[in-house]
Amino acid sequence: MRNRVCILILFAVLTGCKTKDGEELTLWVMGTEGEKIKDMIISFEKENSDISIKVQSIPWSDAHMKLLTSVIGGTTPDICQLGTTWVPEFASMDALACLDGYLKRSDVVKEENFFEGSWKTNTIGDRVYGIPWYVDTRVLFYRKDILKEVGYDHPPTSWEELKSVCRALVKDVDQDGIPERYAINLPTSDAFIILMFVWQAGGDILSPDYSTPTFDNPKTKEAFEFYCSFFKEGLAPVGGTADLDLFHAFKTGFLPMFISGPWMIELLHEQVPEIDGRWASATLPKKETGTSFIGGCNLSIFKNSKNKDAAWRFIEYMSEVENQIRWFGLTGDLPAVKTAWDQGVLNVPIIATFGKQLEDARPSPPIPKWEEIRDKIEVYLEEVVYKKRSMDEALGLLQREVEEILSRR
Amino acid sequence: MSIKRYSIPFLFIAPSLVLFFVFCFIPIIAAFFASLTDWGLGGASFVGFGNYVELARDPLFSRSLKNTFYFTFVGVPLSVLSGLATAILLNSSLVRIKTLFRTGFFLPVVTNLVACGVVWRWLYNPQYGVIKWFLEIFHISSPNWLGDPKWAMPAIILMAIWRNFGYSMVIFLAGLQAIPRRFYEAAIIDGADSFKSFLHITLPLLKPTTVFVCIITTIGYFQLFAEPYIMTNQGGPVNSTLSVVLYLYKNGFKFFRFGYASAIAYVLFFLIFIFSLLQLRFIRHGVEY
Repeated sequence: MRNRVCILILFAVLTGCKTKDGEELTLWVMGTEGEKIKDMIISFEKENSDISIKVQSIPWSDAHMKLLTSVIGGTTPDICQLGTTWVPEFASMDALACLDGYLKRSDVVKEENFFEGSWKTNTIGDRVYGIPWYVDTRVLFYRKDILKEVGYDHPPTSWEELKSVCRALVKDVDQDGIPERYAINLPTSDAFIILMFVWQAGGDILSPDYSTPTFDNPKTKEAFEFYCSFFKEGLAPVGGTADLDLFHAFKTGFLPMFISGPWMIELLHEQVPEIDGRWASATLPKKETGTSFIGGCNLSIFKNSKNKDAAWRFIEYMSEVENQIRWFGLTGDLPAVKTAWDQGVLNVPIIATFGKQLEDARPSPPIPKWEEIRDKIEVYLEEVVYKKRSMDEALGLLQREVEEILSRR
Repeated sequence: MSIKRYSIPFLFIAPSLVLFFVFCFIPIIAAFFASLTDWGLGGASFVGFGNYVELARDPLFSRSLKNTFYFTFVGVPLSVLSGLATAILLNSSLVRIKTLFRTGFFLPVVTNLVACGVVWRWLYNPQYGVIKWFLEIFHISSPNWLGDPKWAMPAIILMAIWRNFGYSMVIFLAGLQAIPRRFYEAAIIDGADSFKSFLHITLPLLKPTTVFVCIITTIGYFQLFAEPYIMTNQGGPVNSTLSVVLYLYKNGFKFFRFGYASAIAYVLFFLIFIFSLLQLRFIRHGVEY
């Protein structure tokens, strides 16, 4: 009998909590951003007293699986942070709400306010399934002092210059074939980096409608060959990159250049403060273009959400210029809204580089099969770098196998 | 009458049977049917044995098979032998503080695999790894363990042996203690030295234990997954540590080719099945004194 009373009381308490007025939104945010976003939510709730937001922060490593299961199990949140490459996948599973209707009525969120490359990661055909939240892009990090030492007072601006800087940088004093100083760190298995070189050469890996691979494009081949030549000439270390402590290598000058994203700025200040002021960032060296890769995160509303209007108000809130700047201050995530870049805080040279690079940046192909294609590129690129296969053979196989992947339903 | 007689025991095992049926048996059957379809993001349609035909032609799959065989056929004998050796050492009267050693050797088995993988990655680090430092004392140049396609698999095998031999050791210890002392006493009276009594008493009587350990270890080693997943960035370098299960995982949960992944699972199932059958054949001719 007493138990029953207890249960009744518990039930009353639990249901009592639910009778708050207004709408409750659930929001899934990844990694440490899940903590940091609480500041933004407090101010949002102050301005919109009829909406309350429940944040759930998910570790990046589980995020994808968790989202998949929630889509299949029908337990999706109202809003979720999605990696740019995930939007096509979840949109193709018919899990995301189309935002075209909201966009037409909105004064805050407009296509032209965002970087083109970033906006494209949200569109399937001409329908919009997400709004850019923050962006990232890859640029060149280099040691100013070491480059000056070998006679360059500016970062390499073209492919040719990149090569000659690298040749000047590499140092093998004892002539044992293992340099004491390499020139640049290039990953042997990262499709994103090679993709940027392909774009820079004016080539591509897929046709504009993503239906056929174009590894037989001579410009694509040129980029692959250029990339691999860094390993062949001993300018970049082969294979060592997996367990390499990049910060240490950058500090000692073992690797005076590398290509990476905005997160490195804070990490470098944090891990190797000794070399503050001796390094800088630069836009990528140009061939035909200096195109980089654009990534970052978008905010999407799930189709099953019952509070889509409220969810849209939150997305609008996060897209306002002052909130984009505030978010940058909280996390260092780069604003996706172009006008935010005119503000003072972003006008530091190291960060401004990213703003400039974002003008010429493209997303990875927005198709669900990209993951599989990416894996294939990495497999064959690695085989060429390790001299297990010739370039022509690898590109031929890539062409054939990616064709097969794309022809599958 | 007889139904009633048997219903009580069945009632008792029902919970585990029902759970087994729902969460194990049904998925196993379902996976077989899934392996006959091209189930993926775009729905599913029946393709017969198409997935299996594709597997036969898939160079990455044969690569992963080769890697898994390499890992299993080098790793299993080594880890069973080292388990047996330590068990015999710990069972002899020569060793003191046995409990300490027994616990120590068993510790890696109960340690979280991910933690082990991360720590071993540091040990193998080509710049400041402990192993490199140790080898350099003897003027041996250390290879780039996990970054070199030739050395990555041996490095993983070494770590797997370190992690697993404690388990076989404990089972061997139990097996050794089950051998009655009187056989050894009889052997001493007959004038056999300790090597001969090991060869003619210990080994034959340990046969069932050995077969059990071999089967369990083989099954475990065929399912190599976490080590390369953590230590070599999912199968690198140049796919030299890509295992069958890792390839299955990639297809199923990265490329969302559930049908194809199910087919890989079934191939692996039959492999393990065949090897377990082969090993069981040895146990048929058991030794009794």
